[in-house]
Amino acid sequence: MARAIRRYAATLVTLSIVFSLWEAGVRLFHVPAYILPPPSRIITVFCTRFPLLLGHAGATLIEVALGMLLGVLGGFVLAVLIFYSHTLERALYPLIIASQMIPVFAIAPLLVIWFGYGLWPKVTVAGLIVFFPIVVNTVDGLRSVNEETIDVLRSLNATRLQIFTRVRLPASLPSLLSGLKVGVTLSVVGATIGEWVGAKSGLGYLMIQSNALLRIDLVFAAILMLSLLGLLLFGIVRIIERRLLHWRTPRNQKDRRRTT
Amino acid sequence: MTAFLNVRQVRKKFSVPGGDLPVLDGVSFSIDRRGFASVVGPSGCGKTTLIKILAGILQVDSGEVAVHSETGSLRGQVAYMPQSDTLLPWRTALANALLPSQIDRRPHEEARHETRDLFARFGLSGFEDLYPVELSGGMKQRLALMRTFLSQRDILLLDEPFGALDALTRVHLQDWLHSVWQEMGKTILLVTHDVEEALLLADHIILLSARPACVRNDFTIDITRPRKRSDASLVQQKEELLQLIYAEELNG
Amino acid sequence: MRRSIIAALCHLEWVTKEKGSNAETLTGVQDCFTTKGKKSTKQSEDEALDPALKLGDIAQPTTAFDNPWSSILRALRGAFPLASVPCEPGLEVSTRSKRQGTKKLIVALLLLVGVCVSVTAQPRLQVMLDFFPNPNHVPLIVAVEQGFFADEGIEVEIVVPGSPSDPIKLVAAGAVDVALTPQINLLIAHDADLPVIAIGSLIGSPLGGLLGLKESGIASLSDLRGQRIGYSLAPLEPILWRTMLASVGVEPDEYELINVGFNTVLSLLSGQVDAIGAFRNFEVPQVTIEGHEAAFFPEEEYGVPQTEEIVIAANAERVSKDAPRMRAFLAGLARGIAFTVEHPQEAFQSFIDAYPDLDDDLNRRAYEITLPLYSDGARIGTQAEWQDLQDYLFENGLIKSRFPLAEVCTEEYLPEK
Repeated sequence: MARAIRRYAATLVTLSIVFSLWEAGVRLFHVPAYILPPPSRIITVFCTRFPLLLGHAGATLIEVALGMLLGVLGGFVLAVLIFYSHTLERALYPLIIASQMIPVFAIAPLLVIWFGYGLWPKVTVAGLIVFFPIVVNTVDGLRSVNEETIDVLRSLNATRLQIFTRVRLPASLPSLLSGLKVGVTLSVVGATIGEWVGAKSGLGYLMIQSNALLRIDLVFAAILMLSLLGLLLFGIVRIIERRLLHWRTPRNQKDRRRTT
Repeated sequence: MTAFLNVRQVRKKFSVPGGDLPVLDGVSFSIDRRGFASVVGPSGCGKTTLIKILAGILQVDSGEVAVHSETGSLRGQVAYMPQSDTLLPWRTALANALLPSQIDRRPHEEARHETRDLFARFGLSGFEDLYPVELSGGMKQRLALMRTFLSQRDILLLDEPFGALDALTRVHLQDWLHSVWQEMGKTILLVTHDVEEALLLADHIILLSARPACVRNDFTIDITRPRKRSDASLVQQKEELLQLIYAEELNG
Repeated sequence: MRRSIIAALCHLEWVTKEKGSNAETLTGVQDCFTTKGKKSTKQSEDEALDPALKLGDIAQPTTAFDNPWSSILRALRGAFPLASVPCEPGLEVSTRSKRQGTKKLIVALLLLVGVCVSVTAQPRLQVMLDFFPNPNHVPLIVAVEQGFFADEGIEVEIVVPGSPSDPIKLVAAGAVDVALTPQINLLIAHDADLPVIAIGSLIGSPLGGLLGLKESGIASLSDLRGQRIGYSLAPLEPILWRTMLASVGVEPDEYELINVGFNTVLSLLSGQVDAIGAFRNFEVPQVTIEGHEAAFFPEEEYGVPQTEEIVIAANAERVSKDAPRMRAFLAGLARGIAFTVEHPQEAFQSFIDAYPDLDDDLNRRAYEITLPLYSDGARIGTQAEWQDLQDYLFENGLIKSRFPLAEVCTEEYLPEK
């Protein structure tokens, strides 16, 4: 317990400072609660309406999970194709980059027409937003292999598939997980935005409706829940990363501080 | 003994911005079975290019390479160890050593036994489950060498395997490579910039000229084994060889 | 992440380009260094809270959120009356939102010189619209363009909101002087302890209702039994419809409510839903132009009490201190309304001059429908109307308590009949 506190001491202190300044600022400048609620109010609402928030968080979480699944799979496959084919790379890369610029409201009508108002528009938006970092990172990861390692395998007459599965794929994991960390937080935002296209539940939906009812404290409580969701997912990816990439840190030097 | 590995009039050029860069211009030599040959020469003369051609990674522009008088690419018949660190960081030492057997699709258990046995010989026993990041430079080189030996190929091509190591480790590993070679009967081609190393290990040294390279000299080294670095004739030959290389550098 | 959500929230209420330069032309503000500078100052401060501003021409809100600095600025403005800085027409200041570097320079200069207040001698009044500019606002625009406000001695600046819930919040926070907002929203806001009060009215009758397509077989309201109805905002819309449908004997469990976000027409036309909440002067002509036959059911004909679609909201705590400006504003607005009614074509032309990209079929049709609905003399409705509406909202759980009407509306600042 004491160790946990020590580890997170810096985070806790920073948060406390931020919240204190916020609380003080809002009171000092008489900022109305329907513009910017004080943290005390937000946390109170967060606790009293926790079941509501949790329920909507669950809905958003499902959208994020599915979106991530599709986005990562699709992104990965595309990355492999782009890596192995220069033609595809030249053809697809500009399109992929352009796809990131499209604001949701522009494609929302399309999504509605194709998918209606159920789960899929949100999953699509969540997936699309994570797509790009995955593709870029995976391609970079595939490229990061020391070419001389590939030479060794070639000289052993390894097949292209063997080279891919035994060398390139594992080598691309660090980059891919890096992209995943970024992607998972983006995906949360994406799902939220997707809910604005039309939803029955979810934190994005809750925010819009609360805003319309001038319950800004609830809007911020939803944002708080969203932040926690993002942190949770990020943490999960971090844990996965540590598991899969444990070979990066020497076990006999766990305490070593990095100086460079 | 009949020549085992034959290189005849190999020419190779690269296209670079600004035209063609000829790197190898008629390189010819041969190596006997179970022989230990070393390629030396001024820096940048194309030693690595030559070795890559022998490894089957690059194609010749003209000339040929042959094993047992079967000409053509040597791909699949040699084991190549490049200059840089090519260990897979996500695999343990044991798993790294097993890589060639997996490529060849050999039965797993058999390969494991053979590999484990070699760990002791290569001075790495106890380190099977460590990752490359946990190994020292010398250990990594030994592991890479072990992997090369485990490829079950008769011909080994080693490109400056000890280049990045400190002097003491290098000395140890040179001695050790010598003993392993004698024990396992492989045919080795060693590229090195360290003339002393070449004289210590090889029966036959090929001196390349500066770029575009051809074989300037082809010496047989007669010093009896085991050779000592302090050996007078070794020291003398080292001086001569260094002079020759120096002369090549001035020419090039 | 919060910021991106807020930005997205504002961004979603995406409206057509509100040409900053047009707003300036509109209010007759001279392209003066300090005026523009002042606007830029506000923006660069607001930018810290609202990244949507960075979107250049496309983004519209200037004051999306109040912040302490604008209050300080206003206080200072009050303290240092009208130091007239000479207008420097030669000084080319790039139009708002584009040049970060220039904005920073302006802020720095202003800080050096001290807060510069409005160049013109006339007091300024910021009006936040309820939505993006549309024919509902013609009399207001006319009053600006024809100088009615100037005649009354004030300068009116029109501000477009980032989201429909902004106007009432910002007028309550004192970030804008008056806001246009539906009567229902004002009552709900007042119930939520926002200090707001209605001082006048622009459109004194309801515009809302339910819209279906004749070709889907919707001929009468009861045809919505068993159908899907698309809504944007709960709980207000569903409650209104519940009343409407109950009046023709359709119970809530006999139809399905689907949240369709903000693009309601799309959901209707793509067949995702069979009816949507709609304005008779917007979505209705919109679907007609798309070639469909609209089946529209006005809310007031089906049991929903009479409401005023657009009232003028002011800050209840400040309104008496601001009385002269409030009176001037309402007087100018009343003249604008009268002019519009008497010279409809000219009025619309004024509107188009200010917003050239609204010169299209849809807006013309909308205007024709809206024309008879502007509030004569900008007057708010009767006490009975307000009382009935308050009762309705209370009974349906949209407000927690009923208030004395004097707290929510007043005729004090209206011009004489």
